[in-house]
Amino acid sequence: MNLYHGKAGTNYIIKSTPENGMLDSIGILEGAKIKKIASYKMGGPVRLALGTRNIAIGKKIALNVQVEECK
Amino acid sequence: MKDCAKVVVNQDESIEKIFKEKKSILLMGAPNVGKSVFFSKMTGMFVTSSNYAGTTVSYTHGNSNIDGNEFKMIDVPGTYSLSANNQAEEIAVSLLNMGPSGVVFVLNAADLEGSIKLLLEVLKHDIPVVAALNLKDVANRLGKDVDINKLEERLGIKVVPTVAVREEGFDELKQTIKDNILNPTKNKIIIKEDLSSKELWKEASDINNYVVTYSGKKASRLDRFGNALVKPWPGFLISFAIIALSLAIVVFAGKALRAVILLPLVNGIIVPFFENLFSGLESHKMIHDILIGEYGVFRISFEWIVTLILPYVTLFQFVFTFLEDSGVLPRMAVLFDSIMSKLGVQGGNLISLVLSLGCAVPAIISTRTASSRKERLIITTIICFTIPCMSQTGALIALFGAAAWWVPLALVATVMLLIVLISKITSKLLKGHVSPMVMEIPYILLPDRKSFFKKFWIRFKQFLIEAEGPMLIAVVFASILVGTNALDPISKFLEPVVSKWLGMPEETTLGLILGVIRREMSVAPFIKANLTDLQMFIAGVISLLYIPCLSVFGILASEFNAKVSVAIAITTTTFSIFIGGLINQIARLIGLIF
Repeated sequence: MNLYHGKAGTNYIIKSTPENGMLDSIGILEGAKIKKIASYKMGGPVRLALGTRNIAIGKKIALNVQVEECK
Repeated sequence: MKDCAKVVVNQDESIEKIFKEKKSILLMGAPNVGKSVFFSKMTGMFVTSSNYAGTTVSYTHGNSNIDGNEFKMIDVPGTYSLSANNQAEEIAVSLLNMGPSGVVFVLNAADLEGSIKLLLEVLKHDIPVVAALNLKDVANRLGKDVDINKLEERLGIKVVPTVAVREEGFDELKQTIKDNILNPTKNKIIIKEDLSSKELWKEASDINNYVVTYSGKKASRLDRFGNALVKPWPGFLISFAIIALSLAIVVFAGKALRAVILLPLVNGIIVPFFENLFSGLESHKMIHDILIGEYGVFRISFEWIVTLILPYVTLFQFVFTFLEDSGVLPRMAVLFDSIMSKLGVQGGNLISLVLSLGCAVPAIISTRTASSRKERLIITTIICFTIPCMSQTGALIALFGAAAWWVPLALVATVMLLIVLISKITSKLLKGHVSPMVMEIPYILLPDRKSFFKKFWIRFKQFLIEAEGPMLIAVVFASILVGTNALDPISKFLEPVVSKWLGMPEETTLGLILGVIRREMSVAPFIKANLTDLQMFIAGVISLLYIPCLSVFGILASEFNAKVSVAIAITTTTFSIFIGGLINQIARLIGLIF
């Protein structure tokens, strides 16, 4: 499952991320627990919560972020 | 209008010298934690602080003094990591490597985990560090409480709680800086071993869980507003409402200010005063003309600068200062990301574009946070070609005061069209890639009244200091050109272009000459010219596309290189004359002679 197509309101754990320094810096990396908030239509970004922070990630990156649902 | 007072954009050589001469302390932290407020409180200098990532994209330094201990404070650009992902991070890393005396690290109490992760990276550098725990008020609003003692215990450094905008905790912070950095009594530095970013995040998360307690507060009204704004519905609606309201405030309040106060003041009192004063000089026609003729210094400096530029610039700064402090703009950036990415850039650049509505110089500097040179160049080109600065917009609003309703609308449509066109062309032509958006969305904040007015006032003063000089030079230059009739041969030479191709009156020549100095000066000469609607539209298009001002050339040369600066100058001028003329020719061809 990739982050872009993940369900809004679901908690995920990140399985893999594409090569992108900013993702690492901001804390989106393998093993991070996030809550997906929404995907924006028409090529828009994904919004997610990481801890108490709100983060927006462009669609092209979000498609390559693999996630797994947190049980 | 550069954005902040006394900001020195330094080259690395000079900063190395500073490091040798004096004790120097770096002020560091993640973006958007209030570092710039600390800086201005510590040094008495003002740096624009705003509620979005990357306000301090260049670095700034100032002198500070604690009980007679002098030192340099350097405001380092806010970054999320020290892995040199963009120019801001590169600057931060190179400053740390130059061997400063210490670091004052600003922690964000509302997002401790992210802050701690960056702090751990800083602690690896074997430099004394003191931390300030800022934004406690926001943390409390989110229902979080941070245990300072536990935090100190885990980090091994002193942590001082602060609320920077209200100046709480500064005395204690200064004392701590004195004891731990300036005159260290004990050299206790915890050197962390080299951790991967995954391990760093794990460690940060452990510390966070150890020191933070949650009380599970409900979202405040402000947070609910922030959430609504970032959703497509009703976010787009609110965004458009905010944009419309901002524009309405600037345009209508500006017009009112002009009509009720400034025009009567200038035309009724100031100009007649100088007319009287210089009436004895009427026998010396040339001198009289230069001083108070139709384009005399003492006439147009007031007519152009005071009644044309000042009201709109002031109001724009008022509105923009509020917007940028509130956290509204990054939410718009998220909403508009889909549109922006179709243009070849990502949504975060919207902030630079909005900034450029004020002035291109800070906007171009702000593109340093872009992920690639290509992205920087696309945004810079859009700014240079199409986006009018506030002084210019003010002049255009005044020019269009007499125009038909379609003229301003057509110009706005032209700007939109040109943004699409230019971003498409530049992203095709330039090599490289543009990374999609990865952006933190800051909390919605109601700007603190005291710091809002302070910031507004400083920007206003700054505008007067920085813009007044070039504007006066342009005015004096204009007065002399017209008064000595030196303009006539130039006008004659340019006549085929101006009247045949552009279909414009001879004032255009003056506008084209003055426009090189400052943007609004390319519009100002038209205001007396009784243009037709079509001519007003063409005047607007020419002035929009025309050469950006001298300060922009300077910043292009220092941020990129002289080649970029020259390329922008040549292409904007050619494009402006070409498109302006094209509109004229087409309008004539289809018989649209108004």
